[in-house]
Amino acid sequence: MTRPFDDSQRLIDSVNHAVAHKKQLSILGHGTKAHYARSTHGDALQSRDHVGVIEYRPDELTISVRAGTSLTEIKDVLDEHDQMLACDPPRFFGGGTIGGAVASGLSGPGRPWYGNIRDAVLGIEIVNGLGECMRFGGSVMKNVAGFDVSRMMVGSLGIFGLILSVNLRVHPKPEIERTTKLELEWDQAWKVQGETISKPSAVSATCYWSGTLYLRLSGNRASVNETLGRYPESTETENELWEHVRDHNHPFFHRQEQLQRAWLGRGTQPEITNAGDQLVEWAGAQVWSHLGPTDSQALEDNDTSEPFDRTSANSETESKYVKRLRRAFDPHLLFNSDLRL
Amino acid sequence: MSLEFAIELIKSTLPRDCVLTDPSATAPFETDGLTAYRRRPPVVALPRDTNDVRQVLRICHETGVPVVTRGAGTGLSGGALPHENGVLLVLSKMNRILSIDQEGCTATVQPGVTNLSISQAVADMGLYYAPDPSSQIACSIGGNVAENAGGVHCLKYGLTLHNVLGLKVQTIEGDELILGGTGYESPGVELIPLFVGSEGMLGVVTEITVKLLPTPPCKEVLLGGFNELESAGECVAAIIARGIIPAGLEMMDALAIQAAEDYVHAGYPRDAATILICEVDGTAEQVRSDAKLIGELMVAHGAGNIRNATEPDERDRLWQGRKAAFPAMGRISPDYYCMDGTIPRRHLSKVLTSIASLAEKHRLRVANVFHAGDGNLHPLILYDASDEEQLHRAERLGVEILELCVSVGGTVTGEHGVGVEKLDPMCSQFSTAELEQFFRLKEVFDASGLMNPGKAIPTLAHCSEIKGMHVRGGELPFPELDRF
Repeated sequence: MTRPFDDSQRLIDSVNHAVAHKKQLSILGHGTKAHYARSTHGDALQSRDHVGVIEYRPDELTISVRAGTSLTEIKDVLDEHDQMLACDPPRFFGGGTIGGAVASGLSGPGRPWYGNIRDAVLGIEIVNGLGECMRFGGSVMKNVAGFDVSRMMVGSLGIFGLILSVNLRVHPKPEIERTTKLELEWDQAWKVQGETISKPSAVSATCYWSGTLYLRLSGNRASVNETLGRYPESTETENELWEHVRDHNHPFFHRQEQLQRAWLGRGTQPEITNAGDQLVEWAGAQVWSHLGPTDSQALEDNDTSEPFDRTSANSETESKYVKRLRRAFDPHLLFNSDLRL
Repeated sequence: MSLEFAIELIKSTLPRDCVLTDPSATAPFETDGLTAYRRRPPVVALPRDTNDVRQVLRICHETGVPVVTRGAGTGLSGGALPHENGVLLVLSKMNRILSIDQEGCTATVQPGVTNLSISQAVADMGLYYAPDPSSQIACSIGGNVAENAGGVHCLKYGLTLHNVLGLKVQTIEGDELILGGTGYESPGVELIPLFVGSEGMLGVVTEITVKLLPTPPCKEVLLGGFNELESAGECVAAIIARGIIPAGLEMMDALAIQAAEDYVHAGYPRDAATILICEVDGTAEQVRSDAKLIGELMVAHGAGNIRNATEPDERDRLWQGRKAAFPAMGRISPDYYCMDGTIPRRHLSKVLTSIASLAEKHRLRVANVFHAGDGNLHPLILYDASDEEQLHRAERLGVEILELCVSVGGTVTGEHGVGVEKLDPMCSQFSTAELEQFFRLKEVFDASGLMNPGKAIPTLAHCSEIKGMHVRGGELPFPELDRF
């Protein structure tokens, strides 16, 4: 475990220095998501030394951590009390900081059942572009005082400011977890996935790839067995699958072509082949493909399909307000100024 | 002059029955659920659709007239208190469920639809909408979005924000923002969290897509009486530590138990210092094992009179006293003032003890009902509004209770919103820089400051006035001055 270290004063000083000298800053944690979004304008503002758990209250289901703390370390700390960060953000290349996870807003395979990282954020401490240190939200579940800046920060890729620390809600780990697989044509797989959303069950993640539907079942033994009983044709497989999918270590992600991601509305059935060119998560709501062989009309028609190598943009009307918001938090456009949202 | 002009323009744009100016017609709109505050709106506009909303906003924008948006008017913090020189935009006519996607488990609705009617509309499909504020029979989903409403099931199922997938928002400068959709994520910066809970300060929500959940096949409610508040608190911590997230976890103190018993005779143990009501839901297998464990933990923490219920009627009976807690107060006191602070749960007994001594200091009684799972405290201050001095003491006690919540790391409002009611304690929760940031954020969507002005975020001038007052030892100078 890394020794806790409060590097906030240096970080605040760096921001103030940048304000005074009209410099720009690119925020950097572990740099594991550089292929997703990376700012290269200006001096690197390194948050990875600002580390450590500030407070962990298993009985309150909350943890407060400095932004540079690694996701692996948070997992280890939570493991001791059989708790977890349910949104399960990706740990690309086995690394990643909690600050980076919040700033990028990416969630793991359990997203429809466990929520995303925005749902886990209870409060945040940031430095805005004026060098002011501010706290929004808090460490309690219910809190409606003031605008919800802490959750707006999720997925904003650092354009509103530097995250110093976050308060997160944690969940108890399920008693057991099992993975099962079913050989199914896409149409049938689609139906099974739909039922994991519309009917009570122990399913907590789905993945369809190359003609096989994988289901993760979580809960107590009786409830997992009850759900397993609904799929008599299924065979059990390794739980590691979900980490591989989450961290893009699964063979599907090994290809060299440009990776594409599509977010589909619930109830919109995409066209998926059995050839392994696409990988479907979230009961059908997140579809990965590679640019090139894939020529799925459903993906092409969907506005949200885009390369997984840049920041995704808001619509034009939204963009007008996002730009103003950026100025409201960072009037000199210090932070990640080359990222456009 | 501009107000009169705006009224004329609205009258020429909306049908006659959609614009109210006659004092007898506007009277019902002078207050929301926080009835201590009243102000007659000069004009009430009742748009039929999104286009009407856009017209009213355009007129307000062009004439520089403030606009306050109102849903069902059940809010408890005065967020819908009319502006003396503004338009009250009431969305109750926009009450249609636009579409239901059974397979995708979503519903798209207009803001005036009541919270409960969403669940009723999809009940046959085995689905429901999870957030359930106690006013759910009357409160509108638009108001729920504006306040980020909670309910008794938040610990497991989240607040309104966690159950909203998409919003259509009209801004005062005439833009329509289509945020989110029916999917789980959407590209770019997420603006939905800004609008949910923004108390009508940023825009008008005209369409909402909510997530529907499958109705749990099985539920069980347990009730236990404790002699010590601390042991009930420890029992809650033990339940969570054992990995159970109950659907609902509520506590009531002795005064609340007595009042509820006198009122509905729910069979709560009158001799208990506190009771814990716990609901678990899920698959039959999960519920059975969770309920068994919770029962054992209650016993281990000294609970007596443990009752459990699996059938709907029995469960309702156990909930009855808790649900009647507020009206029950009306029987033992002419008026009550419901507070809404949230605290980290571990400080519960310390906070309740301090509340008791603050109450003694102000010579008032306080009953406590508490969403124990998520730390949301509802102290009910009992007072007589006809005695102005007593009302003043109740308000003062309320502010001190909220400051106490902030001092232990909590917040001034868990689910009722700031409105006009909690502007003072907001000054103790946020710094000058944070409040200024809020105002810069508001300007992004409402540069002219016409959307629900004076609510939710206190001005710096207001806070320095309040802080100045504190220096004087809690004695308010110039009590006759309007402090909002």
